[in-house]
Amino acid sequence: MMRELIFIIPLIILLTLLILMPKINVKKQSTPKLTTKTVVKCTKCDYSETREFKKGDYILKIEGTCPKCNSPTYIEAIYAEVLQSRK
Amino acid sequence: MFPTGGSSDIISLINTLVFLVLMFFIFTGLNQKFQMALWIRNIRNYLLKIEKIAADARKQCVESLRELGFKGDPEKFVEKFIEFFIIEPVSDEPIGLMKRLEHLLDTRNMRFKNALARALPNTSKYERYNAEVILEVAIALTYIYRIVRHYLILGQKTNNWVLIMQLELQMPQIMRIAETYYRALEAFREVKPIGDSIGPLVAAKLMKFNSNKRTIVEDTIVAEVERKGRKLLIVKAEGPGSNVGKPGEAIKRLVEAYQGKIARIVMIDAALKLEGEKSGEVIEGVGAAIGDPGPEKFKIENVAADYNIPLDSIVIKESLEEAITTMRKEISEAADKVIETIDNILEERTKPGDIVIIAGIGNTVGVAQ
Repeated sequence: MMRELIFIIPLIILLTLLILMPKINVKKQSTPKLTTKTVVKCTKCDYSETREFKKGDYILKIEGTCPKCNSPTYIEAIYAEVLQSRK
Repeated sequence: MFPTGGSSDIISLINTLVFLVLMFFIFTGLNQKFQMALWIRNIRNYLLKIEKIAADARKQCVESLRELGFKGDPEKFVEKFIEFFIIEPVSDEPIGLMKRLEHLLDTRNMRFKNALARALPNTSKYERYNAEVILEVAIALTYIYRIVRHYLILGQKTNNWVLIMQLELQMPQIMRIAETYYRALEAFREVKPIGDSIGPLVAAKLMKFNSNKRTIVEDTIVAEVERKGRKLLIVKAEGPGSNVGKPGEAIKRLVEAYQGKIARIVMIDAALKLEGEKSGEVIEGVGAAIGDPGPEKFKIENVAADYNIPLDSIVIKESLEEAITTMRKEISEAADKVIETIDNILEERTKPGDIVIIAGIGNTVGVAQ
């Protein structure tokens, strides 16, 4: 009985691999989850704030006023960074 | 031949059968057919996935057009352009090749722009440019799908296992490119800067809120800025819509306008990194850093050679995926390093009072001026 199993088990493993391999190969690439941030800066002082990206944001867009000196603020940078997973 | 008695007989029988089947497969070439069937099945699975993302890209394109208030049936519009082609000019006769290629590329661009302008009359130029890029992504994905399907069917029809094997081995790379294009849709739909926007980003930082700027060629801006005692002529595509402009024509016109009295031309562009290299690394070189099909690069090289102007290039390394998806933090941070490099070039290789052209090359999506 044991000797038959030696033949049958690898045969089953081989057949399973044959069926599953294409699906394993085509599996989606794992890409890190990203979040887009917008960096807002003051045109006059050193005020800077980083917030979530909103549709309509673009670099050098003048928007809002500085809470420190009341001067206009602008978008300095927009970038994607890897979302930190919660531990 | 076949021993008898107990479980060992059955095993011997299986052994012999396996041996005979294997010999049969080898001598009749069936093993190759079996291998080919496995490859075909694998390619079909990839193809199904590409078909799905190409269809989804078309759907997203139709949705974007609808959101912008498309006049008529956006699905018909997308279908009309989805297999749009360009016939490359004759290259056996190289005289005027770049001029002919530029003419064809301009004709193609005008076809797209005019069609979108007619169908989206109440939208801004930038919104239409973004819709055009989304359409381009859908066209690219459909093209990948059609090519893979063509070679798969051709390989099956002609029983060409070499063709099928080549396709099978290239499928992971093709899939990676297709998925990258698909992911790029998000950045273009939301008008976010992409990795390729690093050149225009550096130019925008140098010309920040400068009022002395003008359109020099269609969709291309030039600004005059004083820096380190030198006069900088900063060239970039007009943002924040998705647009690459015509930097070659702009540089040519500037050099001619200043009668060749330009000390240096410095070009900034994103460059594809090799595997294992760090993204956002800034490196220097010589030559026209621009990845156009040819005409723009040709103009820059020509005008630089004609007037004997040194041509410097600064590139920022990134992968294909990083280049066409939302700009990563490390690439965004590289902009300040590029400005430092420009300052070094100005101090080391030019004199106070010199005129220097700085060209930020790339797609200016999400980057104004």
